[in-house]
Amino acid sequence: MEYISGIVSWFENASWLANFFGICVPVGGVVLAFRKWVSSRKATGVSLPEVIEKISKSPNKIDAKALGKVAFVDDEISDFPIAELKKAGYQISTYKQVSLSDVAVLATYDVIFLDIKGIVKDDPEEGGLKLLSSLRRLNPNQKICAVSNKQYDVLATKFFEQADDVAKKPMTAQKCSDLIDQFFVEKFSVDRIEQVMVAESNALDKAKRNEYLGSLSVLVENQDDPRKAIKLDNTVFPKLFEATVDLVRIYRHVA
Amino acid sequence: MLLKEVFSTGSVATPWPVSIGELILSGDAGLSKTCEKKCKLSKACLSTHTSGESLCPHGLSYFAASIGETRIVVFGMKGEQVGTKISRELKLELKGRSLDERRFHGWVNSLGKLDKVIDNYILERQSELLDPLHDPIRLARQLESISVRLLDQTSSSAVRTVDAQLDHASTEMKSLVKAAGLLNDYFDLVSIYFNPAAARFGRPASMSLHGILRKITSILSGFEADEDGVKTKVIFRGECYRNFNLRESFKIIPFSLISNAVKYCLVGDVVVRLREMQDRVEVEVVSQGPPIEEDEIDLIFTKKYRGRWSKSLRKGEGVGLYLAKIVADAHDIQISATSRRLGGQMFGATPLATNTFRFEVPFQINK
Repeated sequence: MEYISGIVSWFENASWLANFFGICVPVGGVVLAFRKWVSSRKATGVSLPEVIEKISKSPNKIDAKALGKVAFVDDEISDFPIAELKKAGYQISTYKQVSLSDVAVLATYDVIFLDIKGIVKDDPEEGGLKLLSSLRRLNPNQKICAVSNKQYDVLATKFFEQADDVAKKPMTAQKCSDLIDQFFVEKFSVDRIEQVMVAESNALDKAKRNEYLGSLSVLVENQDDPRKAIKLDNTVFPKLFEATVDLVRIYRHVA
Repeated sequence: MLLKEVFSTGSVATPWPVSIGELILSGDAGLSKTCEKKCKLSKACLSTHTSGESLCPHGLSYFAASIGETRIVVFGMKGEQVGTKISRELKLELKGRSLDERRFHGWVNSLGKLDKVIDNYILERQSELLDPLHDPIRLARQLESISVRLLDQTSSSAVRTVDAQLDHASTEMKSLVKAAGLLNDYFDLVSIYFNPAAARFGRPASMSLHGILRKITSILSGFEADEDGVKTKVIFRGECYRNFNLRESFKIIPFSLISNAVKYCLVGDVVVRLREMQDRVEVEVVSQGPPIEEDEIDLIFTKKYRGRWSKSLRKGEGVGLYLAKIVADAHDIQISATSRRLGGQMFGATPLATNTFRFEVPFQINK
């Protein structure tokens, strides 16, 4: 009681300004700290390890054919066994000709079979090479197979060297499905995705990381388009962005 | 690439005396007296590997640089290193011959641009000239895949592998499958010949070396007859059922070695031996043909080189072994060759030798 009366008399003796600061500063500090604690709890609602654990413990396994999207970009689509691949259950899209401005759409495919010549309206000669470079920049995790018989052409060397694999045309269904399956195994490897996400997210500052992880924890609980909802600049962190998109897709797929 | 040839026409002037890939040009300034009379172009400056400015034994500056593989040396000049304490005679001689590193490198850069323009032009023309190959390559692949399907349809269901099916196939079917296979292999050779980088294209994939050798030997065995109408057999011995991580271009190595052996085989058969060792597999291609002299062992793998004894026997371009070497380098594989004369045995006027081409593939290749 003596302590309380001492405090009361201290406030009575102090000026109104001292009373104001003496009460408001500690109360305000406690409120701010509490809000920060609440928001940090919210940001890490479902942490990355929890998402990974939920995927690995899910009774549903990854059905790569149902999850993965494949595009064939070639002016001679008949060189590919499209009907057989569709029949085998792969999700296939074909493009005979594209524009360089279509690159954002093409970057969303998991696997792309790309020709070098005659596929880009704006640049029929070297369009394939330009497109491949743009795709690499936008989505470094995308698997690209350079499909062309122009391996003899020194000017096409960069095109073949930048691709994940190289094939000649026409392609058999066996060769195509072997390549696609191998690409899917690599692209949908949860271990690889986790490694990329941990390594790349460490480069983010604390505020950005919290915001990014917050958007991830929300995305695994709703059905929003991850490309629109991830709070991360995909032009600066394309690898992390695309790995996160893949993780969300896998999570929703096995959930 | 063609700088030396361009300057040797005399249509392009150089401001200073210069050696371009050992072509000496006196340039607008002309040769200095020291270079012309004292040194007589004994070329001390041309045999060093320095870059930038250096001083020659006669006290004159020379400036060196390289453009690709072409060495450029501007000599008989007055650079910073000549200094001021020189004889009056030398001072007079070097009048109007001042050059510094900045000017020299500026000039070399412009030569580099000229070289690039020439190279790009050649590559663009080459690309245009080779463009008609695109469709034949596609058609050859179609042909091979149809021929293999036909072979499969006409073979009994118990025989599954292509080489085993070929053993039981009709002569026409054999020829069709072999010709289609050879056509594709030759197109692969052409691709690597024009673009050696193609040997490294694509990722290594798990392949059966035994299967590759079986297929190539069955395609090349008895396919081509020599001038006397004799068809050389290729016998395959040994086994290894491991898979190796190899690039698609790998098959060029055994294909080139075996087809080379078939081409120059003068007596008996070509034997392909596959032997599994502790941590690798060894492949040997052995045949009896014209000897390869000791000093030619490395040369036979260089472009356009043809062995002394073999060039008079068969027509050829000297590219098969060169291509095998390019692909072997892309896989970090060494190909070795040995040639042992068979006593005094002769084939007409040509001595006979046992020629062995050998390479090893480690189990851990490309892993």
